[in-house]
Amino acid sequence: MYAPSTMPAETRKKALALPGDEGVFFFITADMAMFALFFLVFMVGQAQAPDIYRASRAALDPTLGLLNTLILATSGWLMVRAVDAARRERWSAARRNVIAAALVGLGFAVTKAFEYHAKISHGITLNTNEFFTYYYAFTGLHFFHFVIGVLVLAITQAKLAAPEGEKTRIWLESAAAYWHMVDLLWMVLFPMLYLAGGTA
Amino acid sequence: MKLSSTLAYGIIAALSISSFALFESQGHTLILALAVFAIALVKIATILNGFMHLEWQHRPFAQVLTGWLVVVGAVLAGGMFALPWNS
Amino acid sequence: MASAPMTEDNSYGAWKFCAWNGMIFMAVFMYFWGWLGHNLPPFAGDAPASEVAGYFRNHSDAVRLGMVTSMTFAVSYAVWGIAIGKVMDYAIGRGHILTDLQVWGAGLTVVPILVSSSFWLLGSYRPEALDDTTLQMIYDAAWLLIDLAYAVTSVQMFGLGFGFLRDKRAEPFFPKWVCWYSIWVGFMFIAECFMPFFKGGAFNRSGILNFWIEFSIFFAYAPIITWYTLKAIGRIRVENGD
Repeated sequence: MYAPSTMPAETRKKALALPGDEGVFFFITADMAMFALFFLVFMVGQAQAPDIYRASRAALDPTLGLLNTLILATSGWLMVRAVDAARRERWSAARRNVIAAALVGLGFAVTKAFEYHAKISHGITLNTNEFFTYYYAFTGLHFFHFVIGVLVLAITQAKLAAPEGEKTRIWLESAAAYWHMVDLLWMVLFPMLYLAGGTA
Repeated sequence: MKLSSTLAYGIIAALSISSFALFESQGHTLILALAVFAIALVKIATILNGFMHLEWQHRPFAQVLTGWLVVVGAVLAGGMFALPWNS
Repeated sequence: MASAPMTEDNSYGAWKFCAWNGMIFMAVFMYFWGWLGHNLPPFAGDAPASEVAGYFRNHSDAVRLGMVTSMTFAVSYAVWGIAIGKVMDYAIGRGHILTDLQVWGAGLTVVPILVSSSFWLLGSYRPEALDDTTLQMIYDAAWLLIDLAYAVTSVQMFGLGFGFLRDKRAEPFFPKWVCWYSIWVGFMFIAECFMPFFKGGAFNRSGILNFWIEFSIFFAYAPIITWYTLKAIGRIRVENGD
């Protein structure tokens, strides 16, 4: 009598469960709150010196920003495919997708390195003006998150090579949630720094 | 409603390219700046929903992150209204 | 878990006292180091040397008292770390490397606090005989040291966070969010790396990001950890039937 009613309940519970680990989500929430504050600081600074911000923004190349947006979105999508595969216990497919996500994601580092190098060789540094302070600091901290993310993906693919069921799935979902956070923070950083607010 | 991840990816990519193209061709006005941020927030909502699969039952995180979207949206819009714009 | 050697220890009073040292440290740090030393918030990086020097000259006794007390109680941070480490012994078994990292991280945090406090004390010792820029340099040196020593404390935070995440109890001593808060604070401390590059703005030593946010998340850290440490000690006492 109990079996038919408990089975759907279990399945239902699983379907409703938070993807990944709630502690990781706490970390993500705290991190996103910090970035929200960064956005506020930037907006206040921009309102106080719009001309400097506009002139500085003109020196950025938004095409590179767009490229990085597409790189991160593609990498994020591959991570979703990895999670979907892991939920069906297709571990090697999950691993392939994680490796692909990391490899595509590395394109972000290439673009960023190219971009930073171009700026620095034109004498634009952290101390050029307030706009560039925030540009380097916020994209730099975001890049630091990205690097940690790539390391997490590297560990994740190793775990997927010798999967331990539920435990590995939760790890993968947590890693994916973190990776999506890196992606979505860029979705604000890109328009905020490169596009909206005007250029002079 | 569960968004398929491929559809979510298509939406994010299409929105990224179109907001960029729109911005490049139409110049810099308040309306366009607000539109660019609105599109960014739609993309983030799509990531939360279609990539992270964070749905309403995942309280408190779903609520907190939705709140984050609202707060960040207000900060970005407020920042744009605070700027001087031509015409 | 090896319960036999654990039950031999029943000095819960001393253990709790050590845990309370986290709060003693914070109270001393905020009032004596922070308030009397004019470090809450500090003078901005671009404050004129005469302003910094004037403070040392006009309030030399306050700074001396602040820093003498700060140096005396700096070690309470290590004492606190040892109390946390003992809870970790119960949570994840004796001799775990993450416990060692937590204890060493807390212990080594004492060093930059002690040394930077001695710099401020130095500035207040004979400020009338020193010129403005020398006093400013002393103040700068102290701030550069205390901010850039962040990684030492990050080690404690990572050890604690990742350590208590391994606690397999049905109701772990430290909830997951506290563990992840610890990891996050250790992680966000990296923003201190920007501090030497700025004399004004959000990232200078008195700025909104580098001071107000970074120090607030640190100031919230000790009370949260102390609360759960004391609760854990109480639970261990009940578990051991003492």
